[in-house]
Amino acid sequence: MLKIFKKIDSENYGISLTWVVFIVIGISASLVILSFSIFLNSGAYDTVKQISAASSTLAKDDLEGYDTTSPIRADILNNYSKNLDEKVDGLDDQEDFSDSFLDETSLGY
Amino acid sequence: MRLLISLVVILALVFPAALTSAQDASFAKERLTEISQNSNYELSTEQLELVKSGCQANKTKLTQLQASTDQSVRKRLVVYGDIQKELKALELRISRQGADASELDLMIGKLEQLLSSFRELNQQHSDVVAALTIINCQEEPLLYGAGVNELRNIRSSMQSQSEQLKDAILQSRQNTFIPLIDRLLI
Repeated sequence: MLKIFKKIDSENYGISLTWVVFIVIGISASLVILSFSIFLNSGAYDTVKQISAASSTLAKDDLEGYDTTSPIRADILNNYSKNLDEKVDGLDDQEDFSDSFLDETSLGY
Repeated sequence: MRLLISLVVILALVFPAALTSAQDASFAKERLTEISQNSNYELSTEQLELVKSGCQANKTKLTQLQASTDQSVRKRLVVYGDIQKELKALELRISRQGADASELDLMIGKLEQLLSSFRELNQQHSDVVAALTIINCQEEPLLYGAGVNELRNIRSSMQSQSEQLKDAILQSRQNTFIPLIDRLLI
C-alpha cells in the first residue's frame, strides 16, 4: 500500500498526493463537525434530550398506585386531557415569584 | 480539676461552631463578591448609606421570602411530579395495546427538563438568601445590594420557568393528546 502510495506520489501530476489526502481528510472532518453542530442546534437534539430525560425520570416503582395495565380508550384520554388544565389552574406564577418586595423602593434605596 | 474538664468540654463544643460560622461568612462574602463582579453592580454613595441603614431589618423579610418560595416550589414539584406519573402510566397503558405513545414520552421529558432547571434556580435562590443573611451588610453594602439584585434576576427566571411549565400543560391537549386520541380512534 505504502509502495503504491509512494509511486503515485512520485509521479508528477503537478499536485502532491499527500496534500490531496490531507485536504480530503480536512474537508471530511470539517463536514463532520459542521453536521454535528447543526444537529446540536436542531430540534432533533432537543427531542433526544427530552426522551433521555423522560427515560431517566420515572422508575416503575414510582408508579405504585397508578393503573398501568388496563386498556385505554380514546374517550378516557380525551377526558383526562380536558381535566389536566384544572391541575395547574391554582398555580399563580406571577404572585408566587413576584419580586415586589425586592425592588429598590421597598428596600429603601 | 472538674472546672478544667468543664472548660475543655465547653471549648470543644463552642470552637467548631465558631469555626463553621466564620467559614460560612467567608463563603457568603466570596459568593456575593463573585456575583457583584460578574454583574458589575454599582450603587451611589447615597444608596450605599440607605442599604446600610435598612439591610438588617430586611434580613428577616428575606428569610420569610425563602420560606414562601420553598413552599411555592414544593407545590409545583408535587403537581408536575404527579402529572408526570399519570402521563407515564398512560404511556404504559397505550404501549401495552401496541400503539405508539412517543408524544407522552416527549412531554414527560419536556416537563423533566423544565423541572430540573426550576430546582436548580431554587437552589441558587436559597444559596443567595443564605449568603445575604450571613453577610455583615453594614460593612459590605455593595455586596448586599448585588446579592439582592441577583435574587431579583433568579426570581424572574423562576417565574418564567414556572410559566413555561404551565404552558406545557395548557398546550398539551393540542400538542400531545389530540394526535394520540386520533391514533387510538383508527
